Amino acid sequence: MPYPQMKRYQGPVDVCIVGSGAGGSVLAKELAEAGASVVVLEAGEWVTREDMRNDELASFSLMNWDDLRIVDGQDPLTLGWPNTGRGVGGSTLHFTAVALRLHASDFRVRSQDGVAVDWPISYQDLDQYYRQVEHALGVSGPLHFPWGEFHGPYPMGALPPACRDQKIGRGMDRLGIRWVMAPHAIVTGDWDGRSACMNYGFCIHGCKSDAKSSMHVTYLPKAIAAGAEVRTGCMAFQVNLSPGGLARSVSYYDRDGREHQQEAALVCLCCYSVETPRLLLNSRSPLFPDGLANSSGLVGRNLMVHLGNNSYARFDDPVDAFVTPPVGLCSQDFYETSPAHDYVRGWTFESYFLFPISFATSLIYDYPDLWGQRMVELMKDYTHFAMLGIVGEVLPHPDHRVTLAQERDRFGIPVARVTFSRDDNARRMSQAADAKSRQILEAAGANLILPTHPFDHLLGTCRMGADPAQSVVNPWCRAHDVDNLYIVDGSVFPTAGAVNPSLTIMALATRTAAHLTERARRGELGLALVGRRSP
Amino acid sequence: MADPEDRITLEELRARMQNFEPEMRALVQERLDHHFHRDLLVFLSQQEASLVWAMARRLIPQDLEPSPDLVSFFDWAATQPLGQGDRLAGQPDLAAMFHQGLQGVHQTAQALYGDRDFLQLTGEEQDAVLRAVQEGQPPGEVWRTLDSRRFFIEFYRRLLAGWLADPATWCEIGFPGPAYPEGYVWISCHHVRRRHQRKGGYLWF
Repeated sequence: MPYPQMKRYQGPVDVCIVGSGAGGSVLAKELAEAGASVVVLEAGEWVTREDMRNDELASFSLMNWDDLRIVDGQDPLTLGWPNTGRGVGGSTLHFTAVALRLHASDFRVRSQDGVAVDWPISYQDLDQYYRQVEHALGVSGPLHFPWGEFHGPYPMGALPPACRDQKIGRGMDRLGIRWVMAPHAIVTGDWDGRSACMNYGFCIHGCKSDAKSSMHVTYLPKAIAAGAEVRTGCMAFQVNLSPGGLARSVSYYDRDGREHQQEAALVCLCCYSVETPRLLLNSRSPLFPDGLANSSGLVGRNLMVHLGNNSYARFDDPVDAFVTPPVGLCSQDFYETSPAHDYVRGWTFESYFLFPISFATSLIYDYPDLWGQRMVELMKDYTHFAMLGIVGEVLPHPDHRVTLAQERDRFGIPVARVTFSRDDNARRMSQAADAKSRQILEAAGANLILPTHPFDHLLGTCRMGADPAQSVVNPWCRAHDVDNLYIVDGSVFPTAGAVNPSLTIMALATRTAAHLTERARRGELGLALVGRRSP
Repeated sequence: MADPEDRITLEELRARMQNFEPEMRALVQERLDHHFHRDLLVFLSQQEASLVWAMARRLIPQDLEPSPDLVSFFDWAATQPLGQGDRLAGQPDLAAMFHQGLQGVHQTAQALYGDRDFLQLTGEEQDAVLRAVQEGQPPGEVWRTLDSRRFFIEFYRRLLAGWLADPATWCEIGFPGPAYPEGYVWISCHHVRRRHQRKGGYLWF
């Protein structure tokens, strides 16, 4: 436990937050600094840089949510290592730290493209909160960012382009495609007590230099300094209601399987797109027989992922792609809908790499016949490979969803069943992205190109909207059905956009915290904020 | 394609290891000393172990000596989620899937080759059995309820993890292992090339 001075609460508190990832940590810091007593329940444990290893095998089970989940549908998802983290900091422990903003068009997909839904808020509503988060994290990025609404400058200068980025960038240059080094929540100089990235490359197995701005080195230390408690090894399984239909407490099992309850005036769920709906669906009561906050029947529905098409490219010269953070350059030249395309929305290009185990095992889903001498020979060229990946938008569909399975976890809590299938738009976008990747990599001089088709990230399942019949939470992330229940994580996204989602989750959490502070000052919610802000 | 310059010698790795943090050095040393070998298998029966050994030889033919002990590694990894907790609806848990699946490989071999054991088959015949399992719906009672493609992926994924977690394999494919605590200074293309060529002034790893 790295914070022996951390406050411990007995009995009821102002705010109980479930989950210490991108949503929960930001809320914890903002609300604790506003004077609230805050308890964060985290299912995982502290994973500090002393615990982390620059080694794939040692890391797989250290910070990934690899508890049982049942998967089905035409494209059953892989869950854990690629999309859900475990431990204090949640998925920010293993995220690539790419810190891209959504575009204004992402909030208006229905109006512009006639599909899916619009967000009930606009880009302008998030702009100032993006800025606030970028400074809190010390985001590093290019001098000028060419796409979307925000063009920089970022708080810190961009990461250096590595050989991989030089090669792929050359291919893009030859085709007239614009690219820049992607903005990252990785500091490239001294920032707020942390020092510059050392290029260990192992960001997705935990940053050993603390240069990656994960929650456990940014927001959480500040939350704890302001009086928040992060209670680890606590698996929440039910939100309990008062007779008046307000959230009263959260029931959880500690790491030894003992049952506890944390009472709070305000409950915030920040467990991401599988565990948040699982917790709501497991919190049935006479008032909510179909699951808490589920009068719309939409809890668990509209699950989205991102297309994560990754083209492996082999070059004549060595590339050593693993010598910098996993994502290098990015391009959003194919981000927006175009009449020339046979699909709507688009993607962000990001250069990428994987360490040997993930490199080989990610290939076999697309190339299950790649075994024997062929695999051995391929791996001997490991240092000659680079990757060009995408983050591609997938549209919401009510049948892509999280429900409860028959199976139970070690505490006896029913586990989530996750149903997903690619739709036609995703299929066409995927083909277009493969073709464009091939063009770029050929122009870059690659002598072998192997496209793969994994998915990244999880979004949706507790959609945000203005109409209580059509959404689960309101534009401030408050459950329509329960006045003091908030959901602040990726599950509130009405549409997915085509960027890595954590920066937007943090911006939403900052906005919700501002709203909650305002509500408390008006005397609502029974919170007694003293209005104190830490220096 | 593979350039001899890309390979790293064991001596070069050992020299690098002096700079590792003690925990990481111990972890790499342990793998170099034992290559995941277990004296006593916990998950696999003796018969299953022989089958896994024969399958591993076809899936990842290794010319290294010493090489990772993939039977022992699998014996450990068979019940490890390795970061991924998803299970296909209607399919058994990891342990049951692997016990049943190995039984299934045995049945497929017998169905295709007139009651001969997988171990008695030639290399090409063994490949044909593995291909049938990999492609889906192979002959064999077990496969009526067990998804053979899923079994193949999960089995092969674990063998690959063992193979590529071994520092002996890192040397073979030119992967220098952990970067901590030095980090990488030379990262652009001409630096990378000169590092591979072991030019003076460039840390070669």
